[in-house]
Amino acid sequence: MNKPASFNSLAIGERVLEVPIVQGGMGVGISMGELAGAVMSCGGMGTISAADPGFNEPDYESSPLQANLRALAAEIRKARVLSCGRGLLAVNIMVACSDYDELVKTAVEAGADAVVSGAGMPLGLPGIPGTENALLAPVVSSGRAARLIIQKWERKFGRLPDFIVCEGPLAGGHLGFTREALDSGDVQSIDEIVTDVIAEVEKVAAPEEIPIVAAGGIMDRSDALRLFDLGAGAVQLGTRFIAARECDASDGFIDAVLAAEEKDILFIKSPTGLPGRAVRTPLIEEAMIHRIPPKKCLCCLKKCDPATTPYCITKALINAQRGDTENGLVFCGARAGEVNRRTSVREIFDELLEDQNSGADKNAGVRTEVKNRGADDDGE
Amino acid sequence: MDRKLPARKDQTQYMINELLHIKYPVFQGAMARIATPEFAAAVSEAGALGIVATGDMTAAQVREAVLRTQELTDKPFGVNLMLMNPETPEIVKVLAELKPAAVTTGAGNPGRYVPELKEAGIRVFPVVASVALARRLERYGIDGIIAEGCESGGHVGEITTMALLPQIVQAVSVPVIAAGGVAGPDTMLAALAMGAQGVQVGTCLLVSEECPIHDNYKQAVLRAKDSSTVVTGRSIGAPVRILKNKMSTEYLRLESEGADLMEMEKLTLGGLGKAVRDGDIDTGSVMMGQAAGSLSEIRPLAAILEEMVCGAALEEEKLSRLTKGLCSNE
Repeated sequence: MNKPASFNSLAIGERVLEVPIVQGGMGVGISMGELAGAVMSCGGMGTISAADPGFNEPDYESSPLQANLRALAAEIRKARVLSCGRGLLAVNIMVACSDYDELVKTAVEAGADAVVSGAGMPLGLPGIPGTENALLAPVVSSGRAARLIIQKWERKFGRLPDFIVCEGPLAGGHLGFTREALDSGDVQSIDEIVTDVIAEVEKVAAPEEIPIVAAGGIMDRSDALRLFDLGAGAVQLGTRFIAARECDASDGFIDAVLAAEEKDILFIKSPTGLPGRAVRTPLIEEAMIHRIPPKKCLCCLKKCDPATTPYCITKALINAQRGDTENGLVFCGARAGEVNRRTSVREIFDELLEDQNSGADKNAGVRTEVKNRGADDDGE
Repeated sequence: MDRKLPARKDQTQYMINELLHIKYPVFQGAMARIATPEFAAAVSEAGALGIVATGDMTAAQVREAVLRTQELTDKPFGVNLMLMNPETPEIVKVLAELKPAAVTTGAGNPGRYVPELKEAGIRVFPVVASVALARRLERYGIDGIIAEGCESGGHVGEITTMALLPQIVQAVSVPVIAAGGVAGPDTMLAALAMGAQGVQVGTCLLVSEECPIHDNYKQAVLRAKDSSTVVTGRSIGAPVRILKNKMSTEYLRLESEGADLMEMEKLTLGGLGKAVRDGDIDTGSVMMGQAAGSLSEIRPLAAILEEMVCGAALEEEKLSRLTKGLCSNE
């Protein structure tokens, strides 16, 4: 194979990521088994979002935890089936989730290769039973956060992160920067963050022991090559995969992202306390005028108080996922304006690799479609 | 809604510029004869929300004014609707068709026009001077309240901004924009401290290079002291804050003597035009707010607005150092 030098396969712990392209986790219901599996089938790392994966389950409102755990396991199996045995599978679990520990346990039990955790500091992640054999990765937006997590994990659990996702200020969804810093532009670029985090890694390990995945605003091959040059082992893309036909979101959601121009993208205040980047929708504007009290609270986020939250973020994300963008929250990256047409995971890989056959040679053109989760998920 | 709502937390509050997609959370007050399409467009270009005053215009004139403003700027701007204008229903139709970003309303209850304007995607912000009216208007689904204290120039209410603003903030859940007495970074910060999510300013923009008033008018604003204005017309239910000069002194004398309305009208007729156009500071009606005394130079709009907003952030730092000292336990 004639892979370009920098798109080298990447050893992560005892596993190998054939193609160093990671699809970022997107919740609620945007990156599930379908998208993750398609990415895996091209040799990359697919990521299932563990933010309320059970939102379509009939018992979601009555017993959300069971519904979420069951659906998460089912999505993991679906991704495995679609992957045709290639790629790696990650589950992104936000530290802010109320049922963080249970979701982590279920993810590793169901066979995820990696648990990726952001929206807070996953300081206790390695202590959760069952994670011994999984790859564990924090999402950080500064060298400082990487250092804190490395120190804490090493001291408390005798373990280092297996890889670190560095997320820059151009990412979509929740961001690890203050709103003031984002507004004033007083934030580090992804390039600077990658460099800083590598410096932190080098204090405790050989750089190849903790590969860096660069994320946030990466759109094309030149972005990827630039970050590989800085020492990143892989690149993570999110927004671009929304345009893939394998994306788990409804057409309404995807069209909203495709139609978004730079001027339509803004920062929202999320009940998690973090700012988030999203497409301007009527719901967001309404929330700017007055609070939208949640009709029903499933206590999905640790920090969210239903009595004061400006709106229910989970309900808003679910509405958007289903195509109701009027009443929905459509997270997207800063460069979503550059994503304008439907494509496929295969095409995105081909374009990034600039190579028609590397990546998923024998599977090229083969697309397995699993509309429903299949029969094997009953009763889990 | 519960009267004793706790003050909303920062986390849930957006500044008004985010909703309207403008740079600064600042509205330009609709000053009759002064807030022309040219001036409003210049204000919008400078990053605030320019607002075209329509006063007693006909619907056709309003159409022309809005089109003219749209020609001059592609930034969001607003139109002020003076509800005493008999052509208001027709004007609302014109506005619903031309869709300016926002409509502010004065001198009445805009309730019946809200649905038509909202339907057209226009944000509606009534100017109110009492808690009762603010609370009543909130039910119509308006997008925010402009709480105007009697420090402002032109038509005024009875309550000062300091007293009115926090009470309106407490009473409604929609964003509140503070007006009356705001003229610089310090007063803007004070308004935000009282819970405003934006401010509306007029007097401080009179002394902008772009303001289309006679230079004598601008000089009169610069010369004004804290006590240079008076309120005329309280006894006839049409209080107007105006520069103390020959005309207003005579007016107040007639008013206190109980002269009839027509006699007083003769005095004010065309008074604003005289001041704005001809620079007649002695017998014109030279409207300005009480904050005029704090203004000392003529500057471009962009500089005035930038200083106000960025200066407020600096003032805030100073202030937080002071207040931290106050509540330390040592």
